[in-house]
Amino acid sequence: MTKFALFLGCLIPLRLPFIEVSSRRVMEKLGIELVEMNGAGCCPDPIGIQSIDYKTWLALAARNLCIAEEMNLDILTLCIGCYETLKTANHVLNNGPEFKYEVNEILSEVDKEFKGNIQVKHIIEVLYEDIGPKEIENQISMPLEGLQVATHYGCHSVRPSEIIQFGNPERPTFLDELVEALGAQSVPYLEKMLCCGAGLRNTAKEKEEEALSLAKVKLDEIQRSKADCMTLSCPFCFISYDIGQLQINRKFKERYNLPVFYYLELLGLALGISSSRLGLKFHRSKVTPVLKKLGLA
Amino acid sequence: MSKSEDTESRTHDSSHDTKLMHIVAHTPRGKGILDCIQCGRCTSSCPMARQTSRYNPRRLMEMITIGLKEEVLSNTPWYCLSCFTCVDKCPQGADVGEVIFAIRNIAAREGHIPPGIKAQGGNIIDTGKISNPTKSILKQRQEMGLPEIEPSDTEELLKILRKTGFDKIIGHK
Repeated sequence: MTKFALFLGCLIPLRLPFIEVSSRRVMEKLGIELVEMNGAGCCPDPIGIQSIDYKTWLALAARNLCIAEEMNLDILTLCIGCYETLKTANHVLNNGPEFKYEVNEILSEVDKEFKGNIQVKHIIEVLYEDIGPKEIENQISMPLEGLQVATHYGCHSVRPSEIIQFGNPERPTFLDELVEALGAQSVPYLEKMLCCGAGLRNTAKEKEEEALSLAKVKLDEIQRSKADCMTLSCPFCFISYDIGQLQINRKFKERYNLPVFYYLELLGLALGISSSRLGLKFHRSKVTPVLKKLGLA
Repeated sequence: MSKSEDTESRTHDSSHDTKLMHIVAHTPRGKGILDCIQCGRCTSSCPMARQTSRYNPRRLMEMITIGLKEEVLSNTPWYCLSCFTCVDKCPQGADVGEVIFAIRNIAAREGHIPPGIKAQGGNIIDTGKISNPTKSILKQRQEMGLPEIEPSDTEELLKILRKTGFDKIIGHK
């Protein structure tokens, strides 16, 4: 059985627990064991904490990496922010002896030492590389036939490409392949690689309008593509389009009602897990139109 | 006043800090500033620059080299989304998105930290995580049969945060 150290982070368990539910239920069904990381802290946040102090950011990330090293397991993250932080820190510490030396001096305060003998993977990377779209296609029991899905990659699932090294950073296809493995159809649309704007929401309230208008550009294009829903794999992006949609409707007097799914939720439905066990009712933009189309509501 | 005198006085104008570029270049993320050729590929690929004229990464790089410290450490670098498109697109490897982090780190030490980020930092010191769950989230977790939230080892985290001086940077008591 394949085993990973589960790095939950903050945003998913503390604000979007239904994403944690779908990930745990689906991985269990696919035979991937997830082991809790005791005492782990925030990854820490790749934008906020990194903006305040790089060395602190690197040291806290290294401490989390050390916990997984002690478990002798590779890390699996559910969040693309955690993925970026931990994968980048792992890369920097493995390739910069001066950083490793400095960080290990800090970590000696808590009797830890970064060694650099584990890998960091995002759950989509595990699904695509360790399991594969073919095997997923074999495993599903309820193909999502007729469902038109717009995929949203999320900046840090592919960038900085020199560090992430997963998929083609300009025109990635892994998420589209995973969607098609469920029997659904990935629809092409303009602005597919556009950022969700989450990075701005944290840095300043007064810039919220710019962040929302950026998310709106993508929603307009998805609407034009006639997709039934969008899917993504990052909780920051999820918030930008799920709760964000309600804020956009208020601010710009629009009437978007596009269901937004974390990929594992679509996979869960295709594996025959009920929408209530996946906690889909907790989404702010209602998913009922999709459930109706699939004959599940 | 002759032309050369005018240039002279401008270089010594207090609003131009010629050391700024070197300070940035000597931070772990700021080396790229020395490689910028002002081609503007960063701005043409920047999702924020297309939304608002208030943000232009090429201009920001230029302002660092000229030494417009006040403008550089103001609100401007906080418009960056950290999407790293510019890092991927830059033909010079000037890592614009990285330089922005270098500037933000310098700004933070001078007391310019947006309140939302400062609050995140405070939460890390107090709980090890960037936010606290609401009662309704805890209820949601229970309803869905999720395990209790694993607490962070705050004692251990605090030792690291004191060692790096993080609490002092954000002025946390």
